[in-house]
Amino acid sequence: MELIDRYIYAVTKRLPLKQREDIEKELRSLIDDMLASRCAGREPLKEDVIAVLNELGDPAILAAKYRDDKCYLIGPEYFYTYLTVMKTVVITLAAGTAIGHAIGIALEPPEHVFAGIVELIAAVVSGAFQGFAWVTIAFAVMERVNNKDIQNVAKRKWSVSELPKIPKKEELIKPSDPITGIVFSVVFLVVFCLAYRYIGAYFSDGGGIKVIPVFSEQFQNFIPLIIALFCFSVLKESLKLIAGRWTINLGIAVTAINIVLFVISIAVFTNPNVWNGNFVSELDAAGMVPADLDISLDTVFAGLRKGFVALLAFTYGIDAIFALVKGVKYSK
Amino acid sequence: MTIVCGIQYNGVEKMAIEVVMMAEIEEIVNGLILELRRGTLILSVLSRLDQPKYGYSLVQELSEKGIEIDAGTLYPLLRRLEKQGLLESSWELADSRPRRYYFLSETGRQVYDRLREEWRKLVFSIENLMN
Repeated sequence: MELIDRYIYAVTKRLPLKQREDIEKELRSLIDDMLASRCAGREPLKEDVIAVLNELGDPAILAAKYRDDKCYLIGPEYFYTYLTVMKTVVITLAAGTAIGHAIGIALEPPEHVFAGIVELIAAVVSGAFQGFAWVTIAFAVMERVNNKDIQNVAKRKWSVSELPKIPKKEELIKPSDPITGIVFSVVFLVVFCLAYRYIGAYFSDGGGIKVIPVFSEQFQNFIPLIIALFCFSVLKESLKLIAGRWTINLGIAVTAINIVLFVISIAVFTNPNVWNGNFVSELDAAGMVPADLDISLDTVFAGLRKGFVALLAFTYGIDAIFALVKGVKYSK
Repeated sequence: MTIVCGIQYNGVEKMAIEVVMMAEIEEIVNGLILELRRGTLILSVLSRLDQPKYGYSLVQELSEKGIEIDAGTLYPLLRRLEKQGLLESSWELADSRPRRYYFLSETGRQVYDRLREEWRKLVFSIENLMN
């Protein structure tokens, strides 16, 4: 009976793989029983099958009754935060990619302008999708990790003393702060992934604007790490958005994430391959170094690189201390 | 003429409103009855499973005794009760057809005894409230 097979397929395709075979067997025996009871000895006709399947009803509803686990990626608890973060990331990522590419086109006009524009649109779309995917993955993970907490909470006894204090105004984290943080992360991502070639010294040699990049071409090997930096930064800001106020746990989480961020940053920016080793000589060749300069530009460049790492350390450190102090202060 | 028409029109309208209200009440009552019955389904199922039975025979047996449950609700319920450890099941061949027979586990037996007690108390209390 083709109809029966189709009905069973329509139910089981909506169920987890490991339950399918068993439920299929069970449904088949149920439908057989219903047909036998309806036909009382005679061969079932097509109309009988239709009547029985109608009685069982919409396969989607039947499958839903068989499924008792939750079947959503991101639940109501996080959905609105998810929307906020997602919109912020996708919009800034799209805008940032567009601007990054536009600068690239302006500096190095492609042979075919049309092809350049197509490439730009493709990059914007793929950037937006990447952002969408990463944010969704992060929240889906958070949903699954945190849901266990909620279940544990449901099992133990609740007491009035657990009621959270109504936070004072200065304890609250304004949503605009983490959102700004996310925007900056996106800008950072776009700049370092797409436009790292254009960070450097600019000069005009009469024929047009030229750039001596600070970073080497090998920088692109480090892009996965840059993406990791971006993901951890967005995770940090999302945690702030979800918490909505300063707590010790949030302070600890921010500190932990900042340590990870710092370690990754060190791995990227202290690697000599990242930087353009010929930066100073190229600068010299371009005639941008005054002849009467008495300090070595190589030393200055090395100092700048160290300074950059120190600046990162300082930023992460301040951010972590700030989060910890506020967390301790307002948890009392 | 117009006055009579007006009264008639009024009457028709009143009747229409009453029909709508009746339908609404009907809908609410049906929903509530469904909710009431839902709570008793597990008790009904457990009460019949001291002997192994397969799903559809249970549907028919319950229906004969005035408890209507469609197979599409009962089958998933049986699986859930088995997962909770209240029922056990085994596939058996009957009339040359494989069928899954469900029956009370030891836990299920204890749970059923407690539920039955609870049900009797509940019936008593509710009766008391309503009289």
